[in-house]
Amino acid sequence: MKKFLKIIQDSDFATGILLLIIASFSYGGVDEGIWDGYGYIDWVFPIMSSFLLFAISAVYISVGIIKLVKGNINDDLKIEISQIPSIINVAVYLLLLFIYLILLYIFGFWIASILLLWSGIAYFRGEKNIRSISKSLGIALLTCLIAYIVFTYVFWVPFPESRVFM
Amino acid sequence: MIEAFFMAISPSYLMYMTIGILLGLVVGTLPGLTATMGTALLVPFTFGLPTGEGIAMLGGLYVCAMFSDAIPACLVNTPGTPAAMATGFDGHPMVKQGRGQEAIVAACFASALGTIFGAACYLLLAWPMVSVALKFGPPQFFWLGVFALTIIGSLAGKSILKGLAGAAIGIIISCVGISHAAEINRFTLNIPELRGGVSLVAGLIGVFAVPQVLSMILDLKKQEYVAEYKPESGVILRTIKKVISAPIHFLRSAVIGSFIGILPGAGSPIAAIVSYNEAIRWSKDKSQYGKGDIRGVTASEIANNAAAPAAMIPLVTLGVPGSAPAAVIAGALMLRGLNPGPELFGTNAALVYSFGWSLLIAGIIVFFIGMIATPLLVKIIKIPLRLLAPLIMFLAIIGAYAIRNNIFDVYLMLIIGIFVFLVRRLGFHPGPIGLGLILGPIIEPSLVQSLYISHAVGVQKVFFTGSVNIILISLSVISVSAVAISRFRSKGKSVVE
Repeated sequence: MKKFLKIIQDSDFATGILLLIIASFSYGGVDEGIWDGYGYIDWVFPIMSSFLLFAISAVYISVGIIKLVKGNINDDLKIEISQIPSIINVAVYLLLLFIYLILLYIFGFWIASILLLWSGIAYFRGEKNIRSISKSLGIALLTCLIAYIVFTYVFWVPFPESRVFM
Repeated sequence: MIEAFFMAISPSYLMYMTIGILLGLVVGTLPGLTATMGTALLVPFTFGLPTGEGIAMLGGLYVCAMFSDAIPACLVNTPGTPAAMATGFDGHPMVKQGRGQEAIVAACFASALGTIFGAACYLLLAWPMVSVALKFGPPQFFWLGVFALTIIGSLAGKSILKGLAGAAIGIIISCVGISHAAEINRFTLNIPELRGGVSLVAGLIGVFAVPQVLSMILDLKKQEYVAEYKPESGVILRTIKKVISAPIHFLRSAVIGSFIGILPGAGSPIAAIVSYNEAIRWSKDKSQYGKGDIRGVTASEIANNAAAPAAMIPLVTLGVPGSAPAAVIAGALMLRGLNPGPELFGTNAALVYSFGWSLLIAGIIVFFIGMIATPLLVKIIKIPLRLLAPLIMFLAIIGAYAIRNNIFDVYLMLIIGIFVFLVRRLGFHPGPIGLGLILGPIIEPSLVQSLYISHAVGVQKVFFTGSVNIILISLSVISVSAVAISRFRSKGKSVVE
């Protein structure tokens, strides 16, 4: 298991595996029996792309295997301890986005967006005190107000409404 | 062409173009934001505008971002966009020597000249290129698309194979939904919302904006030092005189920029680097380059700005974008049911020419607005990323939703964005993925039509005979192998890297 983890930290090997998965997924999505009649015409373009991905993944996996045999496999995807706080920031922000999508469904666009902006700005501010949190709320409210005026009256964009409180 | 000129100077064109220019100033000035990301974010909001005004606004943003990216390159030594990397080589040393205003005035004036030259090329070369393109049939357009993808894959990012793989991934994403020929479902996973395909705008924002925002969050702690900018009287005129006193230098940089801009996929960053290198090679006194030589700043800025309008030439004539922002503008045209290429000339020649005139006028406006706004832009650089990142994500969400009023597009945008963010870690460049997404729907109909023709005359005759087919196939092979060989020689490594 340890060895496997080390192998997939090599960017060539990881690229090969990823491309193989994408190519298999896209080729596997092709309908059956397309070669009878003209059905292939609908699929020939994605099939060509899938074959290209298969070929490129074969090159990367081969390079990875050669490195493995020679014993000079890289761990260039290894995450350094110094990178962890930044990765946590990204993970937290993705979590906020996930919560946002749920809130969007429940409350509609504006309430969810104010909460997303507020939480995002407040989270990334260095200091966490009442003043900075209030300031973040002020920025979020002001941004949403400007966005509402601009997008509703200048660009005529309708926004998603609550699916729960209709 | 005269009618198009009057369209371009109409108040509504000028107003929206100026708004685009102002947005371009901000986008270019803020390191981390790119012209591609700016245009991708703006596309959905131009949808409600008339087509001419909408694309003039996008064009204004693009050419202006190519100027304003020089400001952080000079003051912070961090290019606002990749196209200004070479500008910083001499721009930043000039700032350190207390010649900050000279560097920025030179960049602004050079940008204006470059844009005007590139736009003039657009106006002069578009029709001759369309005359050639009109002789193309579906097989030739298919090979042209393949050539564009190979050159894009070869030039964008560090690895040719990853570039080509990125383009293939973009094509597969573009194939989701109902097919062109028999209208069957492809890759829809039984999700009804996917039958309409991946929204082009949501896809482009996902590819170009979301990963950028997530990268900004990764780099939150990098706080750059911003050098002081003190305007003095007389510097503007003195600098302009210096720039126009070197006409050969200007012409060389502008021709290089325009030529590279026309090549599909190469774009402004490569134009700037090549022009900078050529400026050094042709210079009698090479000793000052890299130490604060004004010619270093102008060589880069003239070329990267000339490349911007020139990148529109293959777009409007052949349907193949010359750069990533041009690809986004192609997406904006496709959203309105307009297919970029010779067909566009036949149906909307006035629109095509008015866009060229708009770019030329934008070059002039950029100079004046740039001169007035620079002190303010210096302050904009100081806006922290921690504030910008959530605001841009907010705009991305509105943009993805706005075109089809469909929340599913927001989900798709986020999924694509997170995927591209992760594969960037593996060394993939977003450019080829985005261009595959754009070029997929352009290339596939040509392939389908060619295959139908081939039922009557045979595959070999349709695809592999005729001088144009042979030239395009050869160019595709040459573009990949030439870049592979040059990288292999320069790095002494395998083509994988």
